[in-house]
Amino acid sequence: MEQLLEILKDTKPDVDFTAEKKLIDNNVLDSFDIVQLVMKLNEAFDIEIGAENIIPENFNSAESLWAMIQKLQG
Amino acid sequence: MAFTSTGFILFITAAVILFYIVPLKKRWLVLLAESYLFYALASLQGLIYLTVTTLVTFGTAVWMQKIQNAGDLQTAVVTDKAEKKQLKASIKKNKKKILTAGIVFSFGILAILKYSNFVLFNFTSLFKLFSPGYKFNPIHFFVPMGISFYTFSVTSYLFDVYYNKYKARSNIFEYALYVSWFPALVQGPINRNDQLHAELFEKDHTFSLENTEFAVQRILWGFLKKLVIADRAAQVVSYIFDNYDKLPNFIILFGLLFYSIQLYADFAGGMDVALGVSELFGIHLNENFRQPYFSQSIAEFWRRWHITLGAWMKDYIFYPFSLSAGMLNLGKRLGEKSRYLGRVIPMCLGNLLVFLVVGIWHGAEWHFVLYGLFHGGIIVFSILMQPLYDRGISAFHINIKSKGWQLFRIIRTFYLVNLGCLLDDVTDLHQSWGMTKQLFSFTNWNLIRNFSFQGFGAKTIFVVLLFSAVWFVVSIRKEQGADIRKSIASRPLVLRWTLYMVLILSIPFFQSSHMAGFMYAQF
Repeated sequence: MEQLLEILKDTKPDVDFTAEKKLIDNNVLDSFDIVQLVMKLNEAFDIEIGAENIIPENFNSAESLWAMIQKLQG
Repeated sequence: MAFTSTGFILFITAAVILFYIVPLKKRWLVLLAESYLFYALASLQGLIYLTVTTLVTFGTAVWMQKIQNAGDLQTAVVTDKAEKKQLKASIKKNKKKILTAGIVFSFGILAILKYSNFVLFNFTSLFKLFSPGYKFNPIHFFVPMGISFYTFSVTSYLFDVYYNKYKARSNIFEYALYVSWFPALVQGPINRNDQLHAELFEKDHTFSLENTEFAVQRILWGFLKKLVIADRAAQVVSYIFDNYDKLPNFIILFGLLFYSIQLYADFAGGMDVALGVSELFGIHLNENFRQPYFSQSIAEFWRRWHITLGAWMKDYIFYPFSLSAGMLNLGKRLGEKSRYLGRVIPMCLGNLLVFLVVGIWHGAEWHFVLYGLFHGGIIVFSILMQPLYDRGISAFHINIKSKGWQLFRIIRTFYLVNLGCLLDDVTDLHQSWGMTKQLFSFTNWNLIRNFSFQGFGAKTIFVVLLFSAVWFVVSIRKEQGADIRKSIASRPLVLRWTLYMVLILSIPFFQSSHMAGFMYAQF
């Protein structure tokens, strides 16, 4: 989880990812941030995040992102 | 049946009465019958096309679901991780074949009906080089009403079932209502099956006076935007655009400004009517606009303008393309040389592809293709220049959160959007180039001296500016988070009805004598 928070901070330094729970619904992350984030997560966690995984339920908070990573790691 | 016609108002009145007198459980069937009747009244050929599209896409999704269900049963009993992964890949591959067939069918019809003349014309232009006397005769196809909108809606459903975001619908009549829901059929919004299905089938549709009042408010507001602002602005725009070579450059700039007003009022007005009519039945559709002219960048503009089209492009073109194996490999290879380029180049290419499609979606003409690429090009340029921009901000100690800086960005974006109109509301590239030259060249004094308002009249300009100013104030309040409809509904009865009467009477009193169809209804 710490590694994920570091990646999130690196992608969007001005956001408090521990507090924000509506990253997509509140337009905190735009499509460019998401593509950058996906590239970094794929590399860091050795996973393949596809277009089908990019839904608000997976990207709205650090916790939901972490849950998706764990699921994809199987 | 145009949204602004008397026939449409009578149709809606009868449709709403019928809807609420039928028992609650059967109401969705009334909506289905009304939607098909609405389409049949427009054209029987279109009705056949709608029915065939519905049947084929329904069957495609069911087929994909069957593959998924069978695959899930097999996967459930497998314990080996590698085997499980292989099985999942095989399910995806089989589903992809069915998806491809469904997409080729849906977009194939759209391409043949809307774009074959464009392709043939360009092909024959090449042929003309060798045979100068050859004349191109366009084929006259029947183009069903709102074909682009429901093609995009049905394909989003196919993609979502392929991605396993939700299960394929098992009731064809429920699915048929999703495809044919008449308020959204003419000019959108582009619906998503899971969202509209929830509105149609999971919500309580008992009659509510408050809901009806809100819906009527919105419809009237839409009529005002369309009939008073858009249709009047259209008179000014058409005069300036038709006579651009005889007009001074500042008048062309004025024409572009009025075109921006016309386009927004026309499309947003149509959306207000569509969403308002849908609300009369207690069904809320997705918003298509969020004060787009307050955007601080072109990228933000496309998140606020025609939102449902932008969301479609993002979900079904931008993400799949930018995150495809090819783009990820390209990113990796570039990343070895420059970390920055490795990250941004796949995004830039994804963006250009999206805006190429957006341009083509607007119409089968080269100026529309360039219109899309103009917007995409600005976004790509801003992505590539971001590091330089950040350094500039820091070197000049600019407070990016200050009101002044934000206002500067809004005006800059609005100006760029206006310039883009030079590639939008023109007949061809020749006119676009002529207007651009005229706009940026020194104006001859004789043109200014001989200029008069004869072509459109001062009253028209005054009415457009007056109601645009009202709309501007409403937009500022909405931007500040105010719920205008709730706020009006909470006022004392006398004040509220005075406001409604002013709104109702303003429409016939100020509306343009040149009524035109909705611009986006032909898409």
